[in-house]
Amino acid sequence: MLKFIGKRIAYAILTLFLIATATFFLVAGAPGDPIAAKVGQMPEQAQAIIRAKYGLDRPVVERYFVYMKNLLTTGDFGESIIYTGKSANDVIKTNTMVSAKIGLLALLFQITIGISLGLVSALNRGKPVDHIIRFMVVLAICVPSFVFASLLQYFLAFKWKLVPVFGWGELKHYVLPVAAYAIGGIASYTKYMRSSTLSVISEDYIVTAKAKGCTKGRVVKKHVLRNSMIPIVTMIGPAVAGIFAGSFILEKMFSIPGLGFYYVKAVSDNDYTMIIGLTIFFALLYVGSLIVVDILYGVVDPRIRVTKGKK
Amino acid sequence: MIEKQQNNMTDLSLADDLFERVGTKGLSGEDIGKKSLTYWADVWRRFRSNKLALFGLILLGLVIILLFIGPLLSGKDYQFIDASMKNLLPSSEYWFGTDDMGRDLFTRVCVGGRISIYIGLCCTLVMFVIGALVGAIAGLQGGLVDDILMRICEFIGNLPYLIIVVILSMVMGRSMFSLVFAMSLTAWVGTARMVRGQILQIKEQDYVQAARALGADTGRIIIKHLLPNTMGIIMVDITMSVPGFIFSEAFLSYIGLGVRPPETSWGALASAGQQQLMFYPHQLFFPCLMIILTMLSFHLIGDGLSDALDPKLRQ
Repeated sequence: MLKFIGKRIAYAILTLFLIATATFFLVAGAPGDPIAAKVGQMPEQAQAIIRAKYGLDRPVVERYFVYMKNLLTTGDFGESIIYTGKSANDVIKTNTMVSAKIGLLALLFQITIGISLGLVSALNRGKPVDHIIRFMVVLAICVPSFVFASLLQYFLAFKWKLVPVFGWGELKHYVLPVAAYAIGGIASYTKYMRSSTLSVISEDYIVTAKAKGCTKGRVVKKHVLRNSMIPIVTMIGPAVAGIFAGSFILEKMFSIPGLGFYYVKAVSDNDYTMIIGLTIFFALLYVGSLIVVDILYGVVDPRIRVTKGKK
Repeated sequence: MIEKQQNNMTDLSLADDLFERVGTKGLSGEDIGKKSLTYWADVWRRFRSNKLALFGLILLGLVIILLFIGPLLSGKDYQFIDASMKNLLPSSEYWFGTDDMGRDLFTRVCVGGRISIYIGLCCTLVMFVIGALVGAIAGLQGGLVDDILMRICEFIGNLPYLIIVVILSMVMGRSMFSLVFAMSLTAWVGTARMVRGQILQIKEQDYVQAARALGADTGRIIIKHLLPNTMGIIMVDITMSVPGFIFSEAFLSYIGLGVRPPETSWGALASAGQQQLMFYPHQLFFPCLMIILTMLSFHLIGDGLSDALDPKLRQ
């Protein structure tokens, strides 16, 4: 187990290093000049001073080493080129939790509602309930999340004025983004839970349990649910890791001051240092949560541990 | 009978009528009543009997036909700007209305749809070719080659997908090529893993051993046995991937990294429509309707295919 964790962490560090390096050189070599918009009509000398401030007068390789040194020694992700005085660290400090809250809340709804609906659908296979749930699932999978978000905004907020259109801070601001974020996930969890439950139901041990006179409730609780949850549990890992990257659009649509909001803003502003800093931080979060999830799997389910070991 | 069995299963109760005497029906029990079907003929037979899947196939066909003959039917140019015709509601002149620059939305939806589907197909093709090749090589060679390829897959699989796509499309500029490149860069890993797993499984099967014992060379085994038997899951994967890429493209267009104007796509149209949502909801409705219909048809086809190919049902 320790060897497995050690190996995983070593890989993660390598991955992060490669991502950081690739991002830096890619963004530095991207077309367009980030300073041009800022300096505009300034005299030559002033332009040169500003370029020197961000180190843009030096070669890329030298900038890379300076940046990496700062990042590793002081944890400095870089200062924004467009907004003077604002750094990637500020954004990370104040806005990470916002994204995390929305994402985790949505994930919680996705898993609980998805699993219950899937189970209900499978246990009532062929009955009206099943047809209705399956129809809703297909519908929800086929509608892009931003379309669903627009519909919610249009009806709940704009037409019926039940909740604010956008904004941030109070509980009522959570309703729309969390709903819009959760819907796609609910659909896919329901779908997987349904098919997983159906395959478990036809297993021999279920027949055995029935033959031994187990009540329906007991069969479902003790045998069906436990075993049909396994494939779902493996889906939760990547979902946790994807929380921070998954809500770009929704954060933009609902003006939620989360990481994704600032990331999209940085991309459209061509704010190079900000993009590099936030990308590295995103990668850190993503790779970090993958590791945590992998380790947790090993703890939770010995079967997964065995297959991981074999790989 | 099967229906009855399934109902019984979901009842979670055992019943006598689960079992039924078959009998031998005289002496004809040994006769072969039906001519044997090839693998794909069998799959097609199952697929055809699935009404929903067939509906999906027809729907997709209709959507694609509409995309190609649509502009001819409306007789308008998708880039033609008519400042006096801004934000019109659907009418007999403009079937889907016009956008905020007075362009005919119907024609734009058709032309944009071509690009969306084209991007979806291109990405899937790249994903399929690279994924199948890498997976097949890893599965067949095994040993060190397998180890190295799987390490690479693991590395790419650990990259946050969206971030990579955003960075790449930003760096490479907004072009069709960079879009396809960015989106398929990480996508092939899943296909590679799947193909590898399938090949590892099939490689050990008795019929492959038998073929080898009868003197078939590796090339023949690949073409005759491995390829047809992996095609099934690959087909399902493909039908599920195309709409996924259409989604991703819509997402990128939405944050301003998709196709470059004046070219347009469903994602770009939806994103433009979203800004007009409060006053002209139809501008969001029509592009979304097309996205949804396309997604729906691909999903129905994919579901039908995976049912038709499901080894559990085939046994």
